[in-house]
Amino acid sequence: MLAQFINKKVSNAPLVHFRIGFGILMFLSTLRFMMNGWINEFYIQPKYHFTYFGFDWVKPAGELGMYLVFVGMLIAALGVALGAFYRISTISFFLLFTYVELLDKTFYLNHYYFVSLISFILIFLPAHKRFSFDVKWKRERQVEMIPYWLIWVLIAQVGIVYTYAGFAKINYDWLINAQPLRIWLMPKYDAFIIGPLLKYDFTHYTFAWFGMFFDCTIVFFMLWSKTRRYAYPILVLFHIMTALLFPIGVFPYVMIFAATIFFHPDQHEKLLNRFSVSHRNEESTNPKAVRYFFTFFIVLQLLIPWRYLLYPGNLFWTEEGFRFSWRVMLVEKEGEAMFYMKLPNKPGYKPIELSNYLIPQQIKQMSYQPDMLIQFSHYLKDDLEGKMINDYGEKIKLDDVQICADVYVSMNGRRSRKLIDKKTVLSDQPYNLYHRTFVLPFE
Amino acid sequence: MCNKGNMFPLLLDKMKNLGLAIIIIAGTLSGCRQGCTDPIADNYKERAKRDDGSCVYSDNFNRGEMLTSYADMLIIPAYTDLSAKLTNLKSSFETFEMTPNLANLSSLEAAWYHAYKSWQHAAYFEFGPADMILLRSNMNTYPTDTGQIINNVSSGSYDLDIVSNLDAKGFPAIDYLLNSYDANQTLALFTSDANAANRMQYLKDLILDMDAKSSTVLNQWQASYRGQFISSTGLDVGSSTNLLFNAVIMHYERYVRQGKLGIPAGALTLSQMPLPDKVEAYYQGNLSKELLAESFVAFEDIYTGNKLGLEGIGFEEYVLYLESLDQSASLNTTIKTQISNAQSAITGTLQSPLKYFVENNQQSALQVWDELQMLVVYFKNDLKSMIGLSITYADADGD
Repeated sequence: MLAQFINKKVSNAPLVHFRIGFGILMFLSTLRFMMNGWINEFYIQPKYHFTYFGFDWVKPAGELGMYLVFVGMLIAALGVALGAFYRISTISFFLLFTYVELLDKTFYLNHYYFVSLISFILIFLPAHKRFSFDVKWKRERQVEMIPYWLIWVLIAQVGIVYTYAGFAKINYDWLINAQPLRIWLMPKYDAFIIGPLLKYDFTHYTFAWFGMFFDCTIVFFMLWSKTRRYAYPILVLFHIMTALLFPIGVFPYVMIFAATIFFHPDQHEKLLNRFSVSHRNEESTNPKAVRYFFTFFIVLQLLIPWRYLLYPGNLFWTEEGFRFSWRVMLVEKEGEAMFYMKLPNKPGYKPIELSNYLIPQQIKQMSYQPDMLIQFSHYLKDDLEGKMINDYGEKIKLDDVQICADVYVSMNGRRSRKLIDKKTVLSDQPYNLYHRTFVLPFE
Repeated sequence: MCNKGNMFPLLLDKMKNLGLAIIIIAGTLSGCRQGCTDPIADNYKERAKRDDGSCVYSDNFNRGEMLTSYADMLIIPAYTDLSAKLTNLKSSFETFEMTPNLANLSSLEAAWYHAYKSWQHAAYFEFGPADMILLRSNMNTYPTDTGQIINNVSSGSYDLDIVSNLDAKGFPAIDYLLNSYDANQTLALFTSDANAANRMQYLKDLILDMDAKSSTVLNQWQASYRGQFISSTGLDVGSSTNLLFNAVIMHYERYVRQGKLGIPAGALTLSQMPLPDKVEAYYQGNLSKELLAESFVAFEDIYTGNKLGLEGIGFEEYVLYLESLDQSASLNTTIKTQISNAQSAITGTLQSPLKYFVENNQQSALQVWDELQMLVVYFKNDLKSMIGLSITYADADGD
């Protein structure tokens, strides 16, 4: 029965719409990124970049190179939207976008990860075989009917994002303390119209509990035809609300659009039929390899967010297994990391001025993320080792220099407490994915 | 009867006036001693002796009012006072120049000392007009470069506005000129020494430069910057609250904690060697600790928004307002406790002259240095996230 369901031939209109919408949104969001001057600020100005584990070889392409990468991304996004040279466009967009994301984890956002995954999936989906330039230019034969599972790959991916974001909200701080919503909403007491509401406990708890139920159940309500017509307006309102209240960029709009994949193919067909008449041509190929591959891909997606269970301690505090898990808007952290250099045979801890090495955004993100603190300590050690310095009049050679840090973090409105003590020689700590025992426990 | 005021808060906006009227009338009629004892609440009852939990906070905290209070109670008064003290210094100098004798030298020194103390308050506001002309570097770069001063004096030609003269001017340079020898020798240097006339002229130029710079900043605040400052009421990167917050905590961290104590105590060196010649007001010597203490008083004033017993609206009121919405927070108590700990460490542990203390009691000095650290943490982490100040325009998704 399942086989019947997933192999059922349905309209490819959902894929066509998805391709067009995604391409346009990516074009606009890339343009916005460029216009905000972020290429220069994030990828040209910084001297140092926090690379991802295993991807340390990914380096910025220089000023001209980075601008070319973004121009390439614009062209590729347009190619995706128009369905022009679709395979090349999707592959280039995925590679260029993911390349930029891998440059520096300072700028990690769940929605960037989402975009990487979606653009990867699109490479394998025949979303360009109708209402596209590839068809117009006779590069492809027009097709209207495809096996249902091709659409279900996208449904599964978007569904995982919502549902896992919902699961992640089932935690003490979110439900019982209404944090970090409280600390984010309270200072907005003077916001336009809704400001007065944002002051009250009642509002914070309502937002928290509603948000949790919304994320956990919206996929179900969107898939069930009886509730869809009520669920979608709520979804739109929900995302617009978050767009107004939080600085989360284009994410809400991406999700408002992505959720249209939950509409039934017949509903999509009705819309597309006005522009592109259906001849009910069936997709001839239904490659098994791609199907197995996607099954594996989705299973992986289902598993990755649970990897935090492999680590002891408070996930929000240690952040071991935190990224790539749809933990969106879950913690408000502010950290103060005071870095020092130390020599084995000398008593003093000499403060290091972080702004000589990092941009404010990097300092902010590093100050509460242990993996970044280690990375930076290794970089500092390499940078300082063997140098002669004038230490307030005393000439000292930095042999076997050690990097230490006092790190205090305030999490979800709690008072600051110590994350790392300066007695720990950070630069001696290995940079790997094992549990970090030197991180002071949360309790 | 005493109104308990436990109405559902959402209804309060509509019922605010009516509710308040009932509370006030009921309170007045009953004349009861219970009521709201929090002065920032709407229904604060001066006569109430015991808080009955009825405080109502229906009005928003107004950042514009806070900024106005900062401008009018702390910032402009700080520059006004500094300018007045520098005018005093100028006239003391004129008297000394006319009649250089020991009595006039002594009142010149006193005028310098009062101005230096006043500066500790103005020094925190290095943004806007002060930042434009690098007021802090011009006023108080120390240790002063005595070689450069001697060169300038003997050559008689110098441009005080070039960067290489930053450490040959301001309060520290005057400290050197007035206090590096005993009074009689100093007097001789200004009267009978071969370079006496040049030295007198140099001292005059230093004082005139400080007076001019201070007036420039004061005039700009009074003329146009005040208006600009109090009208930028947001919380984003360029907002006044952000500018003020960053300027204050940066001054505290780098120029008070490090500059006045950490560096002289050797806390910033690998060998942990005390560096007594790096204290502020090195030549006068007895003043270093006092200036540090004064600077800390100024820091407390800025947090509370109060000045000389006058109640203003500051970060403290802001925190208290947010705490009134969130009963679980208690940041104000934490910060106030930490301020008083740091205060007693400074006044109780440190001894004058600081330059000897950091050598002879280095460990105690280092303990005070540590004690001053937590305020930086509470400001930059807890206070910043409570107020909701942002450091960047970049997107975030809270992870």
